[in-house]
Amino acid sequence: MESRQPRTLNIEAERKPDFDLLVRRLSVGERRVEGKDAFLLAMAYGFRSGQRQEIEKRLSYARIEQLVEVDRCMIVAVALESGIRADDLTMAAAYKIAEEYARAGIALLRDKLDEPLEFRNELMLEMLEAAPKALIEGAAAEEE
Amino acid sequence: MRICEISISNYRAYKDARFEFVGHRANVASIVGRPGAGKTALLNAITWCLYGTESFRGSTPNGDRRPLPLINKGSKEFGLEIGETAARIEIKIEFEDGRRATIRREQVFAITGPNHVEPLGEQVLHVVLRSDNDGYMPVDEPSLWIARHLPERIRPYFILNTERLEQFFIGDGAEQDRVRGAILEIAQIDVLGRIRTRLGKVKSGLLSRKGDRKEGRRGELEDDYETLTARLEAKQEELRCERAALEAANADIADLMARMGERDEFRELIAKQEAAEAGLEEVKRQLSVAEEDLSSFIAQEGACVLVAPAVRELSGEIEEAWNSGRIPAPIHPDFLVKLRDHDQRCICGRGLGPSEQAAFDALVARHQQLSEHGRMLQEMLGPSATLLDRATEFRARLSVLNSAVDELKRRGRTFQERKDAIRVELDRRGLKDADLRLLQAKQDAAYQAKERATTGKAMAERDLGGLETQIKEVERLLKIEMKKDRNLGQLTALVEFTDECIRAADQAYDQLITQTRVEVSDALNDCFLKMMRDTRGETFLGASIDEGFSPHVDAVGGWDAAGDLSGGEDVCLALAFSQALGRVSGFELPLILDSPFVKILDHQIMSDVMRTMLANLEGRQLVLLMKPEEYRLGVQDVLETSGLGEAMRLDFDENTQTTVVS
Repeated sequence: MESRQPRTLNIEAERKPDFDLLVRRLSVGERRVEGKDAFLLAMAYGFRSGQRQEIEKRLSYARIEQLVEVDRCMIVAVALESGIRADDLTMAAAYKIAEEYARAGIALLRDKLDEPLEFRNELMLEMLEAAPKALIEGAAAEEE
Repeated sequence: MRICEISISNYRAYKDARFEFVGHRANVASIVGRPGAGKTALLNAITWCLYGTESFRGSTPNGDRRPLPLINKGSKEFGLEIGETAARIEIKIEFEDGRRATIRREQVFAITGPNHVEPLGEQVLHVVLRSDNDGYMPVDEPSLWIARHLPERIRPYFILNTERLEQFFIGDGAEQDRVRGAILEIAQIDVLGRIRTRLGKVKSGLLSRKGDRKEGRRGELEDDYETLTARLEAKQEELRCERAALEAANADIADLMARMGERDEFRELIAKQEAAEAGLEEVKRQLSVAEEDLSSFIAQEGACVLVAPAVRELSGEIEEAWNSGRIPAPIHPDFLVKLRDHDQRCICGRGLGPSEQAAFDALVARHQQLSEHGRMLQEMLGPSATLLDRATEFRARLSVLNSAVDELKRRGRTFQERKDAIRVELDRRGLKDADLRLLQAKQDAAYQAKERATTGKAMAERDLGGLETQIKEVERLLKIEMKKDRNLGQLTALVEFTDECIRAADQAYDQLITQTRVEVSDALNDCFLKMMRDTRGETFLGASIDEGFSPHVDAVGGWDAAGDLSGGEDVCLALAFSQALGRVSGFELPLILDSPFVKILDHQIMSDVMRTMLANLEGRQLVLLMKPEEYRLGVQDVLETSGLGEAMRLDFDENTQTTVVS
């Protein structure tokens, strides 16, 4: 378990261009998407795909302090969902797991980034697909 | 014609005198007076009465030449009073047919003193005819009447004085002219001469009119006409061009005005197009914003949606931990310790009871003992709920954003369609904004062209008017020239006719003067020989006037005696010439001779000449004005022998300065 609190979110070094491309694709007009948002999206995409991959060569990509509560909540939720024991769950562990999902996620998104419009549409469709499911799943869970 | 009576009033020395030529004096009258008695004044009285002029210069009793004041100045003692008086001379004549005429001339004078006599007004001439049938009848034009019956030009040949007689045939080289003049006047050939002169003037006038015609004048006018016509045609063409340009400019303006009439509609379309473009741009901007919102939303919420199941799990675990009491309410332990260590141990102003104090301490202990995992769950309590809410709202929000984008896209298509429709309409009308400016420029150019054409048209019309006026003037001049050309032929014919007339007149003139000269010459010969035969026998063979109008007297021995005649012979020759002129002319005028014998010293010759004269009067009245010695020595005996009575006497009264007739 990681005991020391990390200060940055890391990505696989060789995926740095892909993350930057993802940032550009997500940035529209004057609205600049921050690196941590791209990181979180890649993480969520990897989590959604159920794929994670350990970081081999770390590269600091975003500062932890940039994360807000909901960001950390998503990271913790993903970490808990990944199967780690609750007693072992720390924020450092959660960040590490998030980095691994992010690496897998960016690899999955990479092919879609070449077509900006398609990227956004496909991503939106996948979100729509995921959103009702989440709600249904959520509603079903509540009913249970 | 005879002189019956001469009355003289206030004329020179004559105060009031009357000469009656009746009885034997009707044929031959003798008037005798000393020098200055009034003989020459009587001759002048006759000529003044007839012609208004005095022709002879008399002498005073002292032998001095008398000046020619018409009226005797007179004096108080001589009976001429200061005031107005009239010199009046009246001559009564009788023609062979019995008609009588009274000729009277008078002039009023103002006498202001002995040496101050001034005429007042004009001379007044009256001629009154009297006949047994018609009675007295004044003549309207007395001067013309006198000129017809007693022409002044022949006066020298019926009123003669000695000087005249002496000088008539004097060989001074001018006798030919005098003779010729006398023949011409007697023969009234001067009328033909005047006709000839008039014809000459007419010819000169005709030739002048011909000469006035400028050479090539018609040619110049025709050249001018041709030039002006060419200029006129050119100007007419120019005017046609200007009119065509004006019509074209007006048509352009009308067309452009019609097209400009669509300008408002066109501008409205342009405005709509611009509004559509603006709307489209706005929609695009809004769409861009919406897409930014959508993209940003996806970027922001994508992770949230994708990890929603995990968050849901986390939320469930947090709820379970909360329900099981594994995690307390999310109060920070430091805050709780501060609450517990507070001196007043109260919360919200109310003091804690012992049980409350114990529960509060237990809570603080629970928070202090909370594991990292529990604390993590505790911290995730709020955010997980937030994430779930966001995930729940994702579709709805995405739908809103998508709808907004779709709506904007629809609006964008609408604007685009509107814009395209306007463009199509503009294209259909062939109007573009550039067209509008071009249209305006064309309209301006058309107005300028119209102005130029209007100015050019006005100038062309003005020039045309001037040219037409010039052409009309040239045409008028050409007509005149053509008429002149036509008249020129007539003029030439007229000149030729005048030439013929002149030639005929010359011929007639020459014939008439020759004939008259011959007649006068024959009459002269006849009269002269008659006169000379009695006194000179056969000394003279004849007298004649040659073609050069020189008188000749053929004497025995074959010599010309014209220049060697004695005084009496000269008088006879002059009288014969006068007789000849009277015979040829038909004017049987009285013969009035002033001192005819004064130069003849031989008494016998005087008597002979007198007898000769009486024997050759041929019915003419003879009035002789003589000095007493002339009368006594050479005439008186002849007259008395012939029964012609005594002579009238003129005496000058020195006392009254008046001539007395007795």
